[in-house]
Amino acid sequence: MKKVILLIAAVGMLFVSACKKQLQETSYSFISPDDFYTSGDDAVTAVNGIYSELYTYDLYIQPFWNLTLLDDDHVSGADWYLGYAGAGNPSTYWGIDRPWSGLYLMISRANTVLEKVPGIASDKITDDLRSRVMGEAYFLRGWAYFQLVQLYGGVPLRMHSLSADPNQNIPRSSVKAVYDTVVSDLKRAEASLFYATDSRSGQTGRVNKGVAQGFLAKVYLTMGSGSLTGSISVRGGQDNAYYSYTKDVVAGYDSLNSKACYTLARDKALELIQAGQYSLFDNWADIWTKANRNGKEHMWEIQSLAGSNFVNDLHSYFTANSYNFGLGAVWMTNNHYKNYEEDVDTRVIDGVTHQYTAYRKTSAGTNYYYPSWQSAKYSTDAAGNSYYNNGGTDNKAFVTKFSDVSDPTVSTSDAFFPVMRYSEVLLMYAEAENEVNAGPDATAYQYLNQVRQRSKATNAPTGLTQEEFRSFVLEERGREFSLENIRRYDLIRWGVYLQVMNKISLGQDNISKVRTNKNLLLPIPTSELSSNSAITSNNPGW
Amino acid sequence: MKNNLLKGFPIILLIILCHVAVFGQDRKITGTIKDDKGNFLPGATVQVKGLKMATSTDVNGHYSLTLPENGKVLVISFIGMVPQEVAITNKTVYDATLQLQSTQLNDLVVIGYGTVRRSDLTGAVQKISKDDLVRNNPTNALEALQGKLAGVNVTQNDGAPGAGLSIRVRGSNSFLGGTEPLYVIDGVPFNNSSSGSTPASIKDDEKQTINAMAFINPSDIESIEVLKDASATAIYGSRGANGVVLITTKRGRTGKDKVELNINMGVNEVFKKIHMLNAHDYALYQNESFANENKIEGTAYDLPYPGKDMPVSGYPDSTYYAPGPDDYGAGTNWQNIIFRRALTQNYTVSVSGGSDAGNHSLSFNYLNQDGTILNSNYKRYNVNLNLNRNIGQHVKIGTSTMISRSIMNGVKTGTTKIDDVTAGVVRSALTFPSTLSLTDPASGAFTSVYFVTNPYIYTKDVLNKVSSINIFSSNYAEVTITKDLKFRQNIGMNYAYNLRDQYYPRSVYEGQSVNGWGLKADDTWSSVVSESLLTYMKQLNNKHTINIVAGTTYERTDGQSKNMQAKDFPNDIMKNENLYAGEIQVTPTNNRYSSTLISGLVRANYNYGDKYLLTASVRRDGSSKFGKDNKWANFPSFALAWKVVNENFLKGNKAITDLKLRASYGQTGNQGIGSYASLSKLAVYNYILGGSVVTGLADDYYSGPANNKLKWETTAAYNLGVDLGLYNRVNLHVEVYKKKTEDLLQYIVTPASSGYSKALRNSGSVENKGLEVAIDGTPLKTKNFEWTLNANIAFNRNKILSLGGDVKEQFADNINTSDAPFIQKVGHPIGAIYGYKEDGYYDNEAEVRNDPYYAAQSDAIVNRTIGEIKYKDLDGQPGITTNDRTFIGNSNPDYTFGITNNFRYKNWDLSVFISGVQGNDVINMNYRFFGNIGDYKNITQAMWDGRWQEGKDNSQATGPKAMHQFWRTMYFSRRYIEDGSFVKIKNVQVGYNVPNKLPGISALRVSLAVNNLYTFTKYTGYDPEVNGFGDNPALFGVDLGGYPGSRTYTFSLRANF
Repeated sequence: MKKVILLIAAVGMLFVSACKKQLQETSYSFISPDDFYTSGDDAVTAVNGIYSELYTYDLYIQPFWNLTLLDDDHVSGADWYLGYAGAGNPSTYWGIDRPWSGLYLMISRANTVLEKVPGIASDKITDDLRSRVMGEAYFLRGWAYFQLVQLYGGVPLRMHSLSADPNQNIPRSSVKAVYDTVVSDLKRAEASLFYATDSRSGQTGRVNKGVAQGFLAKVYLTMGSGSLTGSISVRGGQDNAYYSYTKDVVAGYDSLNSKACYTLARDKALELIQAGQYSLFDNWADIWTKANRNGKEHMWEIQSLAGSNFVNDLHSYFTANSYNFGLGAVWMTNNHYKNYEEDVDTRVIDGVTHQYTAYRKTSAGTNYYYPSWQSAKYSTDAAGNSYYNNGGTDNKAFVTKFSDVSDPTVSTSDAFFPVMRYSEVLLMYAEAENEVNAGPDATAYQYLNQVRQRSKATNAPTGLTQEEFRSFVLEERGREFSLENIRRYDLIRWGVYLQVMNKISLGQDNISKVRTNKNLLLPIPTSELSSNSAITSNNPGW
Repeated sequence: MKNNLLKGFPIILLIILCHVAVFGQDRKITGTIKDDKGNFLPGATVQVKGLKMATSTDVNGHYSLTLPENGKVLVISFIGMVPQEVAITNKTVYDATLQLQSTQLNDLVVIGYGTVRRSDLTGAVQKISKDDLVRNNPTNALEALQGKLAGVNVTQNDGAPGAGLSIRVRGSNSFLGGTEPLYVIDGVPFNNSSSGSTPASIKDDEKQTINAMAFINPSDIESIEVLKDASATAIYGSRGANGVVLITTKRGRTGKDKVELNINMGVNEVFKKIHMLNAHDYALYQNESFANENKIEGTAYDLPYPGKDMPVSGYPDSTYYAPGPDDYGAGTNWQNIIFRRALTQNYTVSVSGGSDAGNHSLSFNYLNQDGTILNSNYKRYNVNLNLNRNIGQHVKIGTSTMISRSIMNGVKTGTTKIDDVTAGVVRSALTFPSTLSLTDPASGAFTSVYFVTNPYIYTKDVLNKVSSINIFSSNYAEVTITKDLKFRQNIGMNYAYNLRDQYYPRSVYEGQSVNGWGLKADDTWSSVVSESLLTYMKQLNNKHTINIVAGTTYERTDGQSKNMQAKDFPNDIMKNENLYAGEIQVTPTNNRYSSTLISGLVRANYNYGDKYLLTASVRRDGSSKFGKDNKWANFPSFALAWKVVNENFLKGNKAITDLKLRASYGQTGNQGIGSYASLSKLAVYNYILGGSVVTGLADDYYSGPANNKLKWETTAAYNLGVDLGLYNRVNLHVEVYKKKTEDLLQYIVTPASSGYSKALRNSGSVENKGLEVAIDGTPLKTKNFEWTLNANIAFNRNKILSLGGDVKEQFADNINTSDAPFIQKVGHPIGAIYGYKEDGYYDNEAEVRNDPYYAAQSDAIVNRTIGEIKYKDLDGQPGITTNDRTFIGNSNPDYTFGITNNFRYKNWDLSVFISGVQGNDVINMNYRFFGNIGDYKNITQAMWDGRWQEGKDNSQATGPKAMHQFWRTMYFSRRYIEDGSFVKIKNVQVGYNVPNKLPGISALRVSLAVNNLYTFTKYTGYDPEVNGFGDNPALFGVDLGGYPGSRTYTFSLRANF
């Protein structure tokens, strides 16, 4: 018996000494954060990780614009596609919660960059690079909060990463507090970033000083219009007539000073215009060619690359020649089409597909033309081929914006998505100037007409009152940025979204435009409500 | 009462003895009774045959008896020994040596790191031996366990050939660690899940599981023991919490070489089809759906089946005849097109034998099982080698090695897609319009619609093959150091390789949008196990027996996986065999991991007088997977047993032939998480800048922040058991247990706003308690007729005691893109289902307006709401929000049971096996897929018959109005949950043992069997026995459009040569 005990003891001793080392984990397929954030290269790699989130199924691959772009008065499309968010039922859309997580993921990564990059030893990173990286992180965080506040109202402000501050319960802040953060972040970004023409600004596709200024102007503009009282007229309804609406102050914006915001917007827009960093392309069609991507008018675009994973659905959904579906799923309404000078404005002459062959993938295809009332012009092409239109459901005004891609025969292709174009800066100036001065001055007209002239449209009528000019600019933004995910935000910031939409009621192609209060904001995801105990209530109606 | 009875026993015994004395004559005999090892047997009975005269031996095995004159024969008996008869002569001393009886009680039962006699078990261990294992012609080892053991709940994940099974022993202990028990094969732990580990698939769509235990042919198994209570499993420490399944393979037996041939041929067919609308009714449905939309929404759609001439789009002067409902009859039943009668062949040949020098057994197996869905098939080749050799007097060596190759050709079933064209074959077959024929009569091409793929094309064109190679080898050397002390070294080696080949051609939606999509993905893992064990066994002065096992073990597992995909191929000819040909190269991914487990263990068994048994064990485990502050933990256990039957007062009792009381306590762990779970990671998040891909790195969203304190979940369990044997005929086993698992490993949902989806923590606790009753016996036994019965029933109640911190409730992962109905809430079981309650339908405008939510809504919205489902507004706030949800179901059964009856009449035998699960809910996600009654998918007859109809009596309506729309929100309600209770006649078999008259054949048996003969259930899907998420305890009992179960008719032939 003693022997046994001795033996067991011996074996036990052997065992205890048996290597603590054996239980240490060796990682093969990932990098530990402990070994990172030590050089300029690491800083750049970390900031790239923030951009990456833009190109996901949280944001620009679909949900981010699906919930908003499909939900305005100018858009129509296939009922199977617009039947969800496009018909006022975002909660039936699978991506309903995605923008929330996507935007906060950007914020979380930006927080990490802002926490770690200052600690990189100064012999490992140049001051300029550190400044740029910090500026990019500030911009992306501010931009993300700007999106959040527009989509969800007052949201929790997370200014630290979870590893720096493990508190996961953070309450909602007021709309104003979120805007304060947005402004502060964008200002810091503006101060730290370089203009795109400066070689220190890094590769194309990164945000830079100009983008920061453009978005600062846009944030001020949004605050200014949201807190304004007055009225505005919008063309629409079933009969495409002008209707005047008394605008509501957007909920949460009441404590803002409209005029002060508009002044800041105007000044920032002017500063950017005067910096001379950007200019308009000469022709409307030039904006959308592959060759001109990231070109002089494009301030910030979501980048794509054919043959990589960075491809998206835009071509399949937005163009007539959708090889994937046979026919695109989203187009502008006939009423909106008639909102342009039909035979003059290149935004519809070149910007809308007038002749196309649908269903080519599964058959020889069918030729269609648009619009039905321009039969003489479009029903036959130069080669003598016939095109059809039944005058009803065949009337689909597909835009050409997303059609120049490397391979139009695959479902996901390399279309770029514009986040901000220079023409918006010009129109922002015009809008802001009109509000600051209680009426348009010559420069307001000048910048507005600069945008119109590029599309060969006639100049805006002279002598417009403040309200007429305000209304004209809103419609001009609708024309200039059709299907660029701007219209819905405009209607909401002007406080007329519900009135404009319900005036239409049942829209073209049987798409319901009936909206209720709850459509003003997206619901905060249930998972957030159940895991963040500091949030006690969801948005109205959800 | 019980006490009085026990006190009475010695008195009765005394009376009997006195009685004997009265009739005694004066011739006296004596003797000593020993067992076959030469030990004296105290308490053996010595009786004079035919006379009521008996005595028993003393502590030294000695007896004395006064013989009557008419005494001719002595009968000497002892429990567990073969009774012996001794003729009485003129001698006065009659000694005897009794041999061990090979009854159940003396069966050796394999426990961890050793064996014990069944009668010496102190814990809850159940055994199933070879005859019972193969009775139902199972194709894998786990199937053989189904319904046989109380508290061991085996569920097939779905009906596909080769599919995985989920096994739960005594309820779910974990949110995360799985329910899978530890498998130990011939002493060596198998470090893998039996249902997991399938290589990646395109879009991660494939939820089909594959049985990783397929490398064991059930015919090669000698016995399977399931360790259920903590005192039995604690010796496996950190992996014992879900129970341990010990599999022992067959060895050769001493004697002449034996050849055994086993042939099974079977035919499978789907045992149920779902009644979908025929073509005529489908056309009616579509017309009604569009007519309602036109009427209610003011739209102007043409009816889909107008039955009149219609204009041709683009050709103003032409018309064509568009058929109406009356132009259709039954149409196409797509289920008939993809389902088939399928053949199963299963052949095993084994050669075995042995001598004093050792023994050998070698077997080959070939299984070819066609699935009941076209083009699904499972093939397997197995080799099993079991060699044992004695080297000299003191050393034994041996190996048990299994090599297996399997190929599973799958069709896409079971997906989490909810409203998608790519939702799998079964859903396609259900919803593809019955008005369409297989091919278009005009063009001859296969018909297609935009909302689901033609099911026939789906089965025909898609490649989805998983090929596996498994090698499992358990080897040992055993040295007898002294008479009492043995040393054993086990070396286990284990290797698995799985490769998925997948290709979606242009003819299905997955491939159409990208011009073909191909994948090659594999995973491989290997493990090495080394166990060094010392066993000491000693009997001291006949009363005390001790048995001590001590040892150390070392296990290391290495694995890696890779995933290559490409899209956009020039054509579909090469499928996935040349991914370079794809114009779009999907970024390849790969992963490598390793983990180590180091342990020390000691167990002592003490037996006093074969009456009182004590077991104590402790294991200390160190695992690499845990946080650096918590790598090590101890797992102790204690158990006591009292063999009441061996007490003097029960001696000679004819009624009670076995009685044992057991009590145990133990702690076990669950380390069912992957490597590196305690570390934080940077993951690659790239982007395009400057026209090319640039690297981005950021904290991995899914893996969460680091946790240095991460440790085991620990289950502390109590078990009480009674084993009762009556008349050597019937055995009853009752177990009561209660176990509490603490420090649950779980991913705490972090708010999405935190930048992580979740964080892995130890928090919360869960309790399982239950009752198990098993009975086996031979109610009738005559020379020609025998009836044996085996029945078990088990009740388990699961309750979440805490979720940790201030978390009151949380939801398990989504079961599709939008639903997460499994709630985890304190006081409720894992598997509770949360959702909305329905309250009939809005029958008229007044009823809609009466709802505060609709009071101020526009006419358009009010109008369209008539005929819609009315959900109960539980929070009192107008409108249906997430606050209106409540508990609406529970996927845990009330009880499970199994009954096997075997009858033998002469050479004929009949066995009937019935198993059942009662009181559980099953989520039928198919109805979520096509239950909207508002799109183009076909629906069931029941949905059509039960729809709300304007102007009709809608008191019996079961669904909303048929209306084409996109605004209807179908909340997750009881509509998608069904009672999943079932009783299945799992197996009926008639066999005939051919009388042994053929030369060269020593035994021949033929049998006919039907598996899944009939299922009694209210479940309206294919099969209530379905479990789309495998052994994930949090998502149990979901039908994801899984592969339907089948009925199998099998002819078997077994011959020995």
